[in-house]
Amino acid sequence: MTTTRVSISEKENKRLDFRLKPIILEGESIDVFGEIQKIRDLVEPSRISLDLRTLETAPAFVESDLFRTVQMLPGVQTLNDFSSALYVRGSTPDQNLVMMDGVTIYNPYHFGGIFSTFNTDAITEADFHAGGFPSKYGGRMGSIIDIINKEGNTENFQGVANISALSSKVLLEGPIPFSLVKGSWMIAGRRTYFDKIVNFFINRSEEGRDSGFKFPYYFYDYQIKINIDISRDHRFTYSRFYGDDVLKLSTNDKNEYYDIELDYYESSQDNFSIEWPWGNRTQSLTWRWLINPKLVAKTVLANSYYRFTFNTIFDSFGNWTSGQYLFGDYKDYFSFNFYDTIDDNTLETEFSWHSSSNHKFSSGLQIKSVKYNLGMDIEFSTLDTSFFWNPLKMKDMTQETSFFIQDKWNFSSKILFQIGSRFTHYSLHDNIYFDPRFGFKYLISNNLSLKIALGRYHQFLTIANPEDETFRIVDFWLGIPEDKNAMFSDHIIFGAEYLSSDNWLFRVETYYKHFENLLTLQQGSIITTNSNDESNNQTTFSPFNEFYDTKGFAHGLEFLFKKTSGKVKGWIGYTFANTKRYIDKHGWFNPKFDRRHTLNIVGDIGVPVIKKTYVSIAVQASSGQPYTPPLGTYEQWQTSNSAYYTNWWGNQQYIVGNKNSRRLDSYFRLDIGLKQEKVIFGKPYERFIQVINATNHVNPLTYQYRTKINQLTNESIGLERAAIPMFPLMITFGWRLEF
Amino acid sequence: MKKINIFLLLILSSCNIVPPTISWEDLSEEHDQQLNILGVITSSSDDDSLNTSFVKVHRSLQVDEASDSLVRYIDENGESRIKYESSYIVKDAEVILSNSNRNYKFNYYKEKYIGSDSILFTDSYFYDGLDFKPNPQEEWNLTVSTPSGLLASGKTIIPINPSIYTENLPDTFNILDKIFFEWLPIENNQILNISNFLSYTGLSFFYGIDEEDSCSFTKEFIIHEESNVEYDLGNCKYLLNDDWPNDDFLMINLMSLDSNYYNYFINENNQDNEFSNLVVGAGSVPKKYGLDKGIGVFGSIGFDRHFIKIR
Repeated sequence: MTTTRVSISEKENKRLDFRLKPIILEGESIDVFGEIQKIRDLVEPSRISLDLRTLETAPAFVESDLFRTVQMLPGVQTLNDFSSALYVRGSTPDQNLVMMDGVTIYNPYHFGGIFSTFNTDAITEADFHAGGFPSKYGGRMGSIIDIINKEGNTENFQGVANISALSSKVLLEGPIPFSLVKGSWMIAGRRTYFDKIVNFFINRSEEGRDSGFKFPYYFYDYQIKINIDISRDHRFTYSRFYGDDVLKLSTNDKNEYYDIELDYYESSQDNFSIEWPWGNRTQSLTWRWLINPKLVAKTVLANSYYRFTFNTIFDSFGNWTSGQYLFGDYKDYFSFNFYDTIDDNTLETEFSWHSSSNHKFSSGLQIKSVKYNLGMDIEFSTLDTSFFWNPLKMKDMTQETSFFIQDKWNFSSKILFQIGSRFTHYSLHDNIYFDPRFGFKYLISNNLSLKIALGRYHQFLTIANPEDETFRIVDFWLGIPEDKNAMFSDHIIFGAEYLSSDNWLFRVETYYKHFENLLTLQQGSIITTNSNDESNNQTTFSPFNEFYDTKGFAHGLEFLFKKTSGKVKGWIGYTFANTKRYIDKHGWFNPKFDRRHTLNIVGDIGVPVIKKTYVSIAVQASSGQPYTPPLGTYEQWQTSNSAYYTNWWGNQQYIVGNKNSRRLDSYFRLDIGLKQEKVIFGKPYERFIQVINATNHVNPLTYQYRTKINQLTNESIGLERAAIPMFPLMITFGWRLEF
Repeated sequence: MKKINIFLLLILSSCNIVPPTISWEDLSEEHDQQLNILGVITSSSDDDSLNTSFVKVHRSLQVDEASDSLVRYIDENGESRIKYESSYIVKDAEVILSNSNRNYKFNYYKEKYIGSDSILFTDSYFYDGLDFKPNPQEEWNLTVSTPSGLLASGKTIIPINPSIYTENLPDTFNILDKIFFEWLPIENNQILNISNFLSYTGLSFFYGIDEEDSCSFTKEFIIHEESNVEYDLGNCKYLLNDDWPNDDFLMINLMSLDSNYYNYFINENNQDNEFSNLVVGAGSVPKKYGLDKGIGVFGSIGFDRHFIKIR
């Protein structure tokens, strides 16, 4: 131990840097639990911090996942088992601001939404705000997920590697080498190699080799973080994330024929390929400047790039020759290219000022410039003809300039306020949008508090995906058009929080959210033929710019009982929720993601009788989701006009009930994990078994229908339906070795 | 590197799946049946299929009701045969159209050839007399009732008759030329259709992908407030060359629409499907325009058609 004498005079600010020396202590295991201080300090409600320990509490589907864990918190609803998208208190996933090291991630999913894009090994902490978030955050009106990656070990070089049937993960970290400067680095990466394994086995069999089939999909991502302390007061952090999903499929078929008597030769080849990469690339440079011990400035320059490109090509060519004479040849080429890119460049500066023990001011300026490019190209060519068609071309550039100010005011030892405002100018609109934010906390006792949060939240971008789609692989992002008002939501939240002496957190919250100027894609107008003079019978695609003006509200009541430390860890969450949307065409209706009651129980406990054996369970039960039922059939009248005659006829259609007026059967899923720690050859290892949907309950994704036919008369006599199930009973077991 | 932890996760049998049992069930829903009407009346009186007033009366079905049923009938040779008949069609309805002066009873016809051009209409109701002559801007009412107690009713206001200014039309049309159409501007929406007569009898046309190489003779213009249009076959007219048959006609048909007809067939044509299934089809809340009771449309239209010889 080193002792240093420090003298400090009244009202003097003096900075002292300490570095703790690790010492190995032997004793009973203890849990270090930093959440207590956060819970006591925070004014805003609806916030929860997730660390790696929490993420690993629940049994995992293949591997632990940040979004899958967040899905089991109160206030969060899911669309289905195949989606890790977050529907938070009536908000859709596009209303969530997902940030990694301060950079916005636009499509935070892998594998069509089954996994989130974040490698949990690299995460230090993720803060989830279900609502009522402070003025520091803007541009979204639903929730915030603020993910902080590991900084890197400043003392030692170390690494972690995971190898599984799905993917390999590696994380390396350490100090900046050769003591050039003080700092640390971290690099983490993973790649799925199911494609490699499948292709290996295919290539081992003759039939497989002949088929030419290759498993078409993989994803990978990597993260880099470098911290450099230029001096005691200046730190630069470079952070980079790069992730891609790639779907590649190609076939070719070559045919040759030769007639030796006629010396006739015929050859043709057909090639077909699909190449569909999508993903995020982000990088940021952060400069943290400790101006004085009470004033800190943080400046971030960030770029976030999201893109998907769906490209399919059909290529066919051939010729016929006799001797040396070419009788004929052909070449057909068709390509279809559908793409969407977002290029987000952000510059922001934030100041935090602890002016006194009772006030903490923060203020900042953010300039966010976003380029959107959504389009579709079609190209067709033969030997003598070619055309290029660009039926969809939506390019836009928007800029959000925001300023926020906030004061956290400890009015007394029992009463705390957090008052803030955010002002935003959106480049396509003339006005400046004002978002007031207000938070209040009353400490009834040291462990029991009441909280209130009010706020307005504007949003300047949306996704143009059909609201009723069951599977969503990619999002189509658009800036709010010039002729549409910015979307906004008002949040009102009341809550109470109690932290027991044995670290049980009890939280109850009720909320009301009001939504205005939402945009709902008109799902029926994907292809239109404009017959007016200007377009001259041109068929045009208008799938992403025809919207219904929509408003809505959501209210609910949530309970959370959470235990983060001790022999039993986990939480019980219950949510009562009611979300409504209004479109003139339908009136008020519950959107597809609405579930009235949701109960989640997540727990991890040591088995008392068997040493070093742990059971984890996750129970998810909720009301069924709404759907629109078919009630009857009729014939919808159609017409075709011509100068010669007009024709009218009827097409059979189903008559449907009010939108989303029925509910699917209730959802229930029980996942169980059993883990045992053992030692082999002096090295520790784990063996585990995980059971997903242990009761094999049929949770309907939606209904499938078929026409019922009278086999005798061939008359169609109505419909039959059956549920399309989500995850069936799945059992995973394996070993995990450490050496 | 002081410490490297390598976690090796070996999954011997990575995933065992036990598929759930899927059970099919009959779908039965409560649905109040409605009459589904297509009523179209015109104000012109030429002996032309375009100027036909008719009403089609269908009904909606329960979701578990057969959309077609097998019926036995005796053919013209006296032999017993079977055929499928649509369950949607209502043949025994009482269909009355009325203006402020009197009622006109329409009767059901399984098949009827209309106009000098003998266009076949099936399963429709027509007025048998010659005194049914709606006039522009008159209000007409429709009442439909069935013995089973289903009712439909509605009204339409006959649109103003469209009028192409014929004085500016040429006597003949050269495919290499442009042609300029003008018409009487009216408050009703209109549709202008242009095509060549032989395109209906076999001599077709070349479709290009975009305007630059589109040579179609078949054009449709939706007209809101415009009063003229210039018609041109575009650059690819040169592909048609001068050998075009000399017995062909350019047909120009201007049709005025009342708001019911316009909204049902033009304005709301691309409506969202609230129910969509690859196997059994799609569905939505049925549209109704011009009807108080029932679904479908009761609308009215007017025509002005001209022919120009193509040379």
